[in-house]
Amino acid sequence: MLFNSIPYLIFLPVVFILYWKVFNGSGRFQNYLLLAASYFFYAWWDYRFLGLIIFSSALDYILSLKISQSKRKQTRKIWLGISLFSNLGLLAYFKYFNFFLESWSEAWSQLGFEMNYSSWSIILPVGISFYTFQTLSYTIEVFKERMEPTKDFLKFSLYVAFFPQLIAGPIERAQNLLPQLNLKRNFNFQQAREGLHLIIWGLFKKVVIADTCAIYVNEIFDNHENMNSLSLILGAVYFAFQIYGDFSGYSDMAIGTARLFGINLMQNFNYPYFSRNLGEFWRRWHISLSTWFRDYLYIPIGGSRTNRIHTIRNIFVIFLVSGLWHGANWTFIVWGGIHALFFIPVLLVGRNRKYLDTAGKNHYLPGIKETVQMLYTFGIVTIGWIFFRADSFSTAIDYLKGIIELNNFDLQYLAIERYNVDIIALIFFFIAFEWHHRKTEHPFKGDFKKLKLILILLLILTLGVFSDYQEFIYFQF
Amino acid sequence: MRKFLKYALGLFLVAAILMVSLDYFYSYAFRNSEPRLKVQKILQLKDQHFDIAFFGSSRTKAHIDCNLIEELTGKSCINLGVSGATITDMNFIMKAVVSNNITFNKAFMQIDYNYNLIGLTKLVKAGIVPFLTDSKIKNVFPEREKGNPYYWLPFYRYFVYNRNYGIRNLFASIIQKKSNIEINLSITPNEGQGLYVDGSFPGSLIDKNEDLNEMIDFTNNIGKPLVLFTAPYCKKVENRYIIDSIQKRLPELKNYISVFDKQQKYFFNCGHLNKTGAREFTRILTGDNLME
Repeated sequence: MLFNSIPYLIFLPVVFILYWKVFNGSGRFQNYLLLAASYFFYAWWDYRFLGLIIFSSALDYILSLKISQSKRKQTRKIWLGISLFSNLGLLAYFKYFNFFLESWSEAWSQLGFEMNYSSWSIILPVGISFYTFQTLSYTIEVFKERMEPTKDFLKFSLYVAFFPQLIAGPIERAQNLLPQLNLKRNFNFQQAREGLHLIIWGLFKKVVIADTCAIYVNEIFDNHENMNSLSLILGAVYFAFQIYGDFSGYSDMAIGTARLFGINLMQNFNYPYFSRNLGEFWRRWHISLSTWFRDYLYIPIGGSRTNRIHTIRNIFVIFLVSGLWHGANWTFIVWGGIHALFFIPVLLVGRNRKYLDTAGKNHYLPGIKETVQMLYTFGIVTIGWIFFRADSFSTAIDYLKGIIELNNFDLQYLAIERYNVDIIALIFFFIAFEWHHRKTEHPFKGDFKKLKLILILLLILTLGVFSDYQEFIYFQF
Repeated sequence: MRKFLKYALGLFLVAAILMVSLDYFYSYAFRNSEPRLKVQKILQLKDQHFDIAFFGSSRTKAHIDCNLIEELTGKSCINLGVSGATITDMNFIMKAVVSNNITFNKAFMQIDYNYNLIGLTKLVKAGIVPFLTDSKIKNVFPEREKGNPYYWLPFYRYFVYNRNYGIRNLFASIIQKKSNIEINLSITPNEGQGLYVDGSFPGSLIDKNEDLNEMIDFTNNIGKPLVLFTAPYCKKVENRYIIDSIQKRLPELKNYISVFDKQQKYFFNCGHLNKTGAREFTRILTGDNLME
């Protein structure tokens, strides 16, 4: 069930009314309803994989209790090892099995040994990368004795399967979500209204920005060999806005939906394209994943509190693993590698934590220096997106070559019966709108909030793409 | 909670008002602009008389040359064939044009494997979109399709067909920008001789086609003759006997399926004639049915 679909438009109000009118007797009743709704939401996509979520929940619930009950460190480590092995094993099987098989075979064929293999037909359960990381973080937190495990399986199951964030995050931390599930939620008008506003803003980013860009991006990337340099540059820029609109739009809708039920989820995006260097970018882009990798991979392997060589290695490790997390393709790994390459100098000169505030903090417009910094950061990120979007490494290289050859900057009429520059005005409007509201969570605050709300509703209705239904990009991860 | 429900309802009302207003605005603009779809052009026609009207799918659109018919008979002719159209589509179009005061003395309806196809097609639905605020068109809209939000939810149809009616097309319509698409109500022929590809008809027929029965009843009621005909198909088409089965049910059917069995040069592909074939077929059809 997609957030931007008719079934969801029926599902959400029904659950909302039941939640506040029928099941509001106690927190436990509310949890029962949310869990049933979450499983229904997931089963709508494919009921066969419900068993996998329930298995994953049960496993980590039991293992975390075992960890907590064990006095000996060695025993605790064994239980943690089982959790890591099972969760990562499932992820490896469903997501990476064919990739590893193919890469293994190719490696041998490079050495002159032909290996015959046939790839398995494995369906990737939607959301597996997200809920696996969520359960893993819980078990690790219990192991590190930073939290007590819950003894309530219902609550834990809901923590894993809570429908707004089940499919594509934010990857929620147990310390944030579980305590909220312990209490009965009371209706709060402000919180619910904020939730509704976030849903509308997220829908705008998805159906107006992302899905409009997608029409151009698909045409340009699929026919990149026939595109001039201007079209290729625009194709990459449009993809930058497509993926941002798509994913941050989903996150906004997820956070907004959770608020309708009195639950606060963590922020996942914070105007990342206004970042002045890559360090700032990664504090603003997919925050729940980057902090996950920071806390459970980067810091445990030494982080930056070690010598320079190890720091560089650690940076490469998290970015390459982050690339691999996105998908079983070398293009994602190269994408991670590009970010690592450009992030390392920022870290080595100690500027990775320089920009903790918001760009143009005390001014309406950014200064020249800030503008150049933002454009430079956006440029690097966009080069990375070319690898992220391309079907293969060689396609990405051909795409980049087409840009570098700088052969033609004319307007190009595309097969989709539109000029390559046709949505530039929309992109500039979006940038200006976001810039104006960069200090708030969504634009429906401050002056003219009602007018802005009506404007955005009007734009959703008139510019939204509904006929070329696009799934959220991050569903595939 | 009550306050929130009021707020949400308020937003819903704003969205609903926007949808209704936009629906009327878009519909007005597209109804009165240069058409970009053949159905749009057909539904814009008003208060005209034609001696002969042809209804059908691409085998009407590309095979019936109304200019030639006018030349041969001196009678006015209109080709209302739409690619991929079903009999449901044509049943609707016939009623819609009549409700717009388009009159004709004689109608032709092309029948072949489309006997098995039921329901409005996407292309025809796309063409109808701007006219669903017109009560005359709404009245003849197929009953069984009225449950779809496309019919009753204002502006929803513009979401579904925003490829045809997006904001770009709206602006183009408002400024009366000329469309690159030429829509012809005479003939849209297939150029050249294509490969003699094989085709296939369904192996069996559905029990009955209610839309066809409705069309027959409708033309009877308005007192106009309806000629049913089957256009030529290539010899290699599989299950060709299905047309004989249709003929058993419709003895009045004029069956031209095999008329070019020995004239491969007239085919563009198995189911379609080329320009020369279309002219030749028009001559035969005219000679048999329109030369009095």
